[in-house]
Amino acid sequence: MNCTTDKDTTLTCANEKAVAATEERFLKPRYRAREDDHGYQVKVYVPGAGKSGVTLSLAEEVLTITAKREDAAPEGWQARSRELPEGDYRLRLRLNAKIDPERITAKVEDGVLDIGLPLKEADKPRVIDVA
Amino acid sequence: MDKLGMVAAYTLRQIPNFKHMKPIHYHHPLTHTLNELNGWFREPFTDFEPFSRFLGHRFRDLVGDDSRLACDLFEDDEHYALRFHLPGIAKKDVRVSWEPSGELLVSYEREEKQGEEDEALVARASRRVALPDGVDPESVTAKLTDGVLTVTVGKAPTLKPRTIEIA
Repeated sequence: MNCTTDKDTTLTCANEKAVAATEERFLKPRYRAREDDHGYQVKVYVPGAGKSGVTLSLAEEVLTITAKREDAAPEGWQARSRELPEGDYRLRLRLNAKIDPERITAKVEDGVLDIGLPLKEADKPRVIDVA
Repeated sequence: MDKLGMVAAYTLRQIPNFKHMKPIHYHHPLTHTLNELNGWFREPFTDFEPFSRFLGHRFRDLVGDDSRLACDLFEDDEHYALRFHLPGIAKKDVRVSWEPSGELLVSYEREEKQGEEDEALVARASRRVALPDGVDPESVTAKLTDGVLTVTVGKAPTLKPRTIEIA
């Protein structure tokens, strides 16, 4: 971020820093995407996230997927060594295809979030009969 | 030679510098190129981290299916607990065993369909964890929820903290 010596700008910079400091940190989950004629299937790997912690939101062609971890170590346990990443998951995907927002489906099972992104009917490939 | 072995041999010839590395995932070189080209022209969506888009794209599968499972180790007065992330792995594909050497071995093996050819691949990974002497092998329990495997091992009485009363 470029801060100038101008008083007003410095103020906004400080403000933004404060916001950035309070903002939650997220883990970017691994994901895989597949395509077929009807749309896309995205598999997001979110181990430790249950059904209740998952939210999907679509705003201005950006699909934001967040998944809250529910596998926190129980009280009284002490960590001896940690190799697994910590934090909740967030994945943001910019959709470059015309997805029908009404028919987006999502299912969480065994730590895998399956998202179905169907194309709008008008955007599906059409078979044109050769006369 | 099995299919995976053949592919491994091929990969090793292609990348001589990687000879010492264990092949952990297989991608047919040609399908890979085709997929990449497809993606280039008709990328359905892009994610926000440019690094992952260019590098991660190529390495995601490699990094993801590491043959050595990462694990967290916790302890309380009575138990040790190990935690593994196994998203999408069924209970029947996971094996937890107590080795006579006093180690706990956690592994999974699963056939997965990859690509349009529906070639069957075997994804496997394992982890050996040496636990201190005096844990109770009879007390090992394992639980798989939401893609997280938790293995709990009870401590033998000698390992548990004890308060000594002053006479």
